[in-house]
Amino acid sequence: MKESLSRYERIEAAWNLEEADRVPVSPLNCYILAYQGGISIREMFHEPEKFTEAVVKAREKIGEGDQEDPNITTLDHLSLRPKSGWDQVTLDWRIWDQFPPEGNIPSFFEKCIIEDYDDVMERGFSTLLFNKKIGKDVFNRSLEDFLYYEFEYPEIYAKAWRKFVEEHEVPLIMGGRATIPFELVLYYRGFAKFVQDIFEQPDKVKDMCEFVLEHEILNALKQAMIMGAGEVPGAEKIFFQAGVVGPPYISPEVFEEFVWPTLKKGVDMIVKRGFKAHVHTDGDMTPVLPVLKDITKGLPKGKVLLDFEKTDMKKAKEVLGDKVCIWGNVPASLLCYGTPTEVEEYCQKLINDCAEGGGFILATECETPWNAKPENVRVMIDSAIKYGQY
Amino acid sequence: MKERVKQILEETKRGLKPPTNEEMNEVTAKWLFGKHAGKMLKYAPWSFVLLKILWKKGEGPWEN
Repeated sequence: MKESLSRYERIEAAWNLEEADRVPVSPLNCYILAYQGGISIREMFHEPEKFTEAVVKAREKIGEGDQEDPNITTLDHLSLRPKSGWDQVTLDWRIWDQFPPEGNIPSFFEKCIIEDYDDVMERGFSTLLFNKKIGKDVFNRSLEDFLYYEFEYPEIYAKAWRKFVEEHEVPLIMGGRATIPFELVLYYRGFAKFVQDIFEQPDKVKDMCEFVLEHEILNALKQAMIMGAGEVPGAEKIFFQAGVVGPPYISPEVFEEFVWPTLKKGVDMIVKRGFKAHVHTDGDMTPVLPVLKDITKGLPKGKVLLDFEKTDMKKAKEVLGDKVCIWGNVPASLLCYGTPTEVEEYCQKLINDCAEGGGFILATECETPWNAKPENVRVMIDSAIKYGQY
Repeated sequence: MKERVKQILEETKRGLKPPTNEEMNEVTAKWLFGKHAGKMLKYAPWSFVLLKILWKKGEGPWEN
């Protein structure tokens, strides 16, 4: 048996395509941390000390994974300047105070915000700030409120998470977030019109993806610095994410022509500045694995991770195993509606398919649903210990 | 914190090239003002009074 490693060393080994003491396990816990920790969404968003205390309580119920997500989404939702397409200033995001049935987790109301790509590239996004299509609640926020949550609150938030990491020796999954440009533009255009654009004005779509890229990446790097990159384990990682940038939502051809160029450029920008890129994609990326094989081209080893949802993990290991660490993919449906035995069997198979030689982190499909059964999440953690020893 | 973890963090910190304030200002100005970024930044903060001119008729929330 290998020497027992700290959580961060275990995760680092996987990123570096090395076998650790055991397979790392890292369910992507977001709203479930607040829900199982006994606090409301409002408290989760506005009281970071209370949130990190809730995280400790939640981990007692759902198990102690090797990392935790500091939920940078909350900062993005409250920000003055749009970040990752999660803001309420240019898009219609609605945020409730409570979990269902009284409220809901934040929900996106898709609308066509950008009418003309050329116009936005000419005049900038300032023309879309506080536009008429966003939610009306945002106009109830004061000037002081916006300035506080943009400039002071991220520091307070980071301080609470730094304390959590130091006290519990649990690294962060990320320090900053960015959205893959193809998807970010889609948020502003709406799915139906965006798909039409791909065929009717393809060059404009590509130009717009290029237009938003640098702003998106540099903001994420700045956020990671606030979260303590280089001092707080895991804060150096940028969660470069998207929900619908691959099959079945778009074809492999559209992926290669429209998604890949700015996805690869973004990863290069992150890594060449010394940060690490955690590339999160929903959907089934199996048909585009041959393209993703080049994600590390020209980059040093151990700086990129590919996080999969519905992708065939065995195939991903075959195609990418010697290039990049892979992450995934216990189904959300199984965590909500399955039994612990079913989850355990699924985890065992994933470990058998992907763990050999290192470079695999046992994780959830997208995120752990807020209403996942605690015993099912816990069995994921236990499975990594039971079946994942190197 | 284990020595090995401290060592990894120190190596990471040495390799970081975070965006400078100047880079952040430039990228934000480009994002906010598109092709007008250069002049808006050059004459900031007074140039920001021109922001309203960038809005076309019917776009401003104050017109609702």
